[in-house]
Amino acid sequence: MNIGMLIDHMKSRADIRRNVTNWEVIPARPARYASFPEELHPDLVKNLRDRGIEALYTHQAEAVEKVLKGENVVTVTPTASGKTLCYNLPVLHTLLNEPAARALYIFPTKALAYDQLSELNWWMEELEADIKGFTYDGDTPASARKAIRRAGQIVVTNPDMLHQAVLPHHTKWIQLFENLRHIVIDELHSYRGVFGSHFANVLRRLQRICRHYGSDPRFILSSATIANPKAFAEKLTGVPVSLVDNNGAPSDEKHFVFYNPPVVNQALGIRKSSLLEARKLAEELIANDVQTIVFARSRVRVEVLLTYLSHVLPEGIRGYRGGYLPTQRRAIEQGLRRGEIRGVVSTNALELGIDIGALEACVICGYPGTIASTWQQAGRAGRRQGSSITFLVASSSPLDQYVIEHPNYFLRQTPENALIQPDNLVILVHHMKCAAYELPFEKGETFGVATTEEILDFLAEERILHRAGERWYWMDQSFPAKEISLRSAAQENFVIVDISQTGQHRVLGEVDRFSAPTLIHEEAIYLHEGAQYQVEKLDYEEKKAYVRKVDVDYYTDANLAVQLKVLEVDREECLANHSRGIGEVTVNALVTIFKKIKFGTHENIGSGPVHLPEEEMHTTAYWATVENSVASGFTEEQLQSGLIGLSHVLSQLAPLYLMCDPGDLGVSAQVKAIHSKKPTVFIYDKYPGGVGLSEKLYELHEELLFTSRSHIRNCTCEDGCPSCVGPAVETGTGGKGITLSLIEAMMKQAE
Amino acid sequence: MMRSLHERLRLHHSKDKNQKPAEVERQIPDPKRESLPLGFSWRSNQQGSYLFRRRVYPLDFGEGRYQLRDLVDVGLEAIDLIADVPVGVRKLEELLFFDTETTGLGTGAGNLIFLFGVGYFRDGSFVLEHYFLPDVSHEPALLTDLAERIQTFGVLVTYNGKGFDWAQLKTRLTLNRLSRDMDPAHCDLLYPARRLWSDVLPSCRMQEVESSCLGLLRQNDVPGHQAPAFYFDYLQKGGLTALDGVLCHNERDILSLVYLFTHIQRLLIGDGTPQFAEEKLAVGKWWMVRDRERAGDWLQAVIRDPSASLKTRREAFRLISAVLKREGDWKTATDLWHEWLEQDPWNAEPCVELAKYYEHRTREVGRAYDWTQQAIHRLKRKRRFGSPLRGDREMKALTDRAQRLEAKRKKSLF
Repeated sequence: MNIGMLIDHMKSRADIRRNVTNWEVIPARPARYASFPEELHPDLVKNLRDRGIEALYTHQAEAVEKVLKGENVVTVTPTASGKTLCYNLPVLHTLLNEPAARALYIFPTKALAYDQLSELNWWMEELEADIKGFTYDGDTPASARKAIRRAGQIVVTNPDMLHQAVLPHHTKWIQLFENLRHIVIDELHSYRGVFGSHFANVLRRLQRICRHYGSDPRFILSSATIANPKAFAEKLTGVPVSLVDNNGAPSDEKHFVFYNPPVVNQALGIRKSSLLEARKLAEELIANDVQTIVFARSRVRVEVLLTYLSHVLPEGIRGYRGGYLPTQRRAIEQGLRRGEIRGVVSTNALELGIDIGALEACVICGYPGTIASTWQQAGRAGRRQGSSITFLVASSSPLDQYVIEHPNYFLRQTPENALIQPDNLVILVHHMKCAAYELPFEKGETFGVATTEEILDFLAEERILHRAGERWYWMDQSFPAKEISLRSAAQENFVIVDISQTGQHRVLGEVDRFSAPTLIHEEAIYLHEGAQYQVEKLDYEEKKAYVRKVDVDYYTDANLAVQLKVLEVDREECLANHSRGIGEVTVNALVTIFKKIKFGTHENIGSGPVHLPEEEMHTTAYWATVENSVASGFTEEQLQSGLIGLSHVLSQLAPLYLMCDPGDLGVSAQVKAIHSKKPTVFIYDKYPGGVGLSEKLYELHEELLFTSRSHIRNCTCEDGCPSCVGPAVETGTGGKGITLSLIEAMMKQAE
Repeated sequence: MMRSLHERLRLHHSKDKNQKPAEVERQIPDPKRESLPLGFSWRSNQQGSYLFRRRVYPLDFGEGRYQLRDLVDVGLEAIDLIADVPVGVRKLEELLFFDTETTGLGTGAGNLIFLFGVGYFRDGSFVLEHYFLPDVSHEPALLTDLAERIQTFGVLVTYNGKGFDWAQLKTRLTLNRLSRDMDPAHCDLLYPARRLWSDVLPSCRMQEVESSCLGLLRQNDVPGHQAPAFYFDYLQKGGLTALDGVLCHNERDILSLVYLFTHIQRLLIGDGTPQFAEEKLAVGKWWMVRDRERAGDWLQAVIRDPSASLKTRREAFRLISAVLKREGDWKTATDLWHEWLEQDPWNAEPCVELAKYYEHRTREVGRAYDWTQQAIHRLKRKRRFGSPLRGDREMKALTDRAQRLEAKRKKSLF
């Protein structure tokens, strides 16, 4: 069956149909063209014509024109719309006219940089011009580095490399910095949250260095669809940016199917596992020889699905996620492009623009958390001509259930705002240290914030900087860029070592420090490439986990116990029966116990203790407090139950408004908050100092409560389920009703 | 109430909450009025001022095995060999001995050089100059004068200067946007030291080489890694005398450069007896490209040296054997292999050489076959008593050779 026939067939089947809440057909869209910009270098025009390209898509033409005019530009387009021309054309144009000019390309991952260089190489060969482009990353051989620094006209790198290798050694890059004309940043939307806040500071440092060497490069940016591309681009780069969003690329018919697994226990509101439903759909697609990508939300889920799907086509299915080694990843990407691999199960690692060719179907297991991400993942199917289909399979979480029951919210709503907080004190100060190392600060200079000098003086008091006359100098023996990683608060990853074969230990992969307590505690089942490994020993000091291959019928899931204490109330507002607040908190997180969960049925078949040190973090939290007038109407048990219900629904729905990973937020419910002695629900940023998520939630407070209330009201379960206030085992009997009346009581005056 | 910025900074970033904050703005003493210890004086140009001192050493000054004068006597015969490129300098006065003290390791932009030491021979004595930076904001002044000074010399002599001191000076010049087309010839003594002693000494750190080869033991030395802390302290509190230890350390480094340069040259030109057989081997290898005869003499000395380890002698045999083969001196070569055979009874190599010689040169298949068998025998014995897992490829090559010879012999019979 070809894909078109299969789509018709699946659409007509009752067993699929009854779980579908909406079958959206997005019609094909014709291309819109514009002629080549007049000033574009004739060699480029000739080359495009030779390839049969007689005109550009409207967005390409506009972007190129604006860049040639000297504007900073952000282009917003869906997957596969030819966005690379938007930056390659103006950059190549400049290099053809001025060979001394330089361009810097920044991609969020090495894999993307590698991809982009292949395309650039192709251009360089076609143009027969002697243009030199290189990737510069951790894999670049030391012998090649010197030549790249001196002669590379286009240098393709990633933020981490820029941060640790290029900027601190800028004197060795003088040819680049003196002549830098364009900075290209692709996949702009991926620079949100903590990573984006770091990156914005790296760009501040980059611009400082450029000013020092007398260059003033333009930014050419490209982003997937987000609600605030212009504002986001400007906040990230600190310069005015023009928006180009008149997408002229054609697209073929797309089917987008909202699939809700059937309810298996009405009373508990338990639905069939999204994992098992996604497996069923993917198996059918793959069995019909439709090349399919399956997205799952976590590494564990990727591995579980991989285990299942490998039964259908043992040779043709692969997994793809962080933690695989680069060579493995390259091989998988190539297998997908060649069509040898018929199915791939991935985390959002493949959401970004890595070239894996055209896939025909996409199964998304669990709502990815944001509208933008979902479209990115769905865009993996149908990149070329022909129909394609995407199934969004909802899990029981409130967010998933909200989206699946409100397809229009998803289809009509503008995607989320991308949020960053470059001025987060922890992040900012780290980068100011790096900046001072690179170049002394001058009096009157600002580094993003008005309080620059105050911070510099603080660092001088701390004997890290030295103030001499009108400048602050780095005066410490350390190398500050080594002290922070852009990707997470954790500096070092845990290495996973397979000791199954005596004398032949091998490294399987890596896990970041914050995930380590939940993923690789002793006795945990670590899944890699579909195989199971049990953690025998976790060497916390040495950051190594020793695992041995096993064959068991369960996987493990660890519980995190969280304690939260308010240090400082920044703002608090009393709204009659409740109040909202925001401030600084300390959070202590401790993993104490893990559960064993059986494959297939997903029932809990045992548990064990985890002995690992506690992690402490200072961060920002938003909270909603129930005033005594309301609280007195409930017993303590009822309050407990209502708060747990409220925290569950709030934390799950919050990502609707924030373009963040659900894992970027933490939640805690306290019947007697330590600072106010009142019942309170906290949601906090899971990053030291906070990255602005709590601030946004504080603003959205009313809307959050309102959405939570209507979501619980509309839920069809009897007494609480994972989709609204959480299952009754967590909230206690009557939890759903109690939570609802608690919210209603809190909101009484507000209406 | 919201916390003040300062309190929040302390919460997240304070290294040591009990430490008293440093004074942010220390008044730099007025250069004109402060009386200066340690022989320093102020120097100023348009870009600012810095401290400078000059000390003159008589040539009979010396420590350990050497005096400064020894270099005058030794001359510069082997300088091209040490620099690894033709230097074209024949006058001692053109050499600049160069060493720095910095605020950290690595060659990143934030690593400041606060002290430069340079030394050179002039008018029958040795001059040692220190350029010291008391106020970091005046760095361009110091660098400008220093660069001018350096440009009057033809060759730089350093220890790890290529990787560090010189590279870092270039970084500082670029950072301050000062001219950077300075490219003197460079004798970085770290590389000769590694050639000579990496097999003999536990490390090739300057101090290790000093004590083992120059007979020089430093007492009361401030180790280089403590220098940054002294400088940071000076920036906080002032008081030049506290830096005396750091200055002394640098001065000794410069003097040691002279002694080490002398020592290496003497080894290379064969003036004085080497301490270790490994040195002879290294020197022999070194001369190989420029003076094969000289190289041969050194290597012959190694194989006649009963104190040389077998590993060292074996390497010498290998090198001489390669030279003789290239020159086609088969008579000497066969004699050498027989000597090697006796000195190195567990090694199959000389047998293989002889087998090759009889197979390809004299075409005596029978003798070639016998030597191959002898080689196989030696290898088997070595594997039986030593490491049975190694030498697989070697063994395969030998059995292949034996088979080939066997076939040849049969063919010649009929």
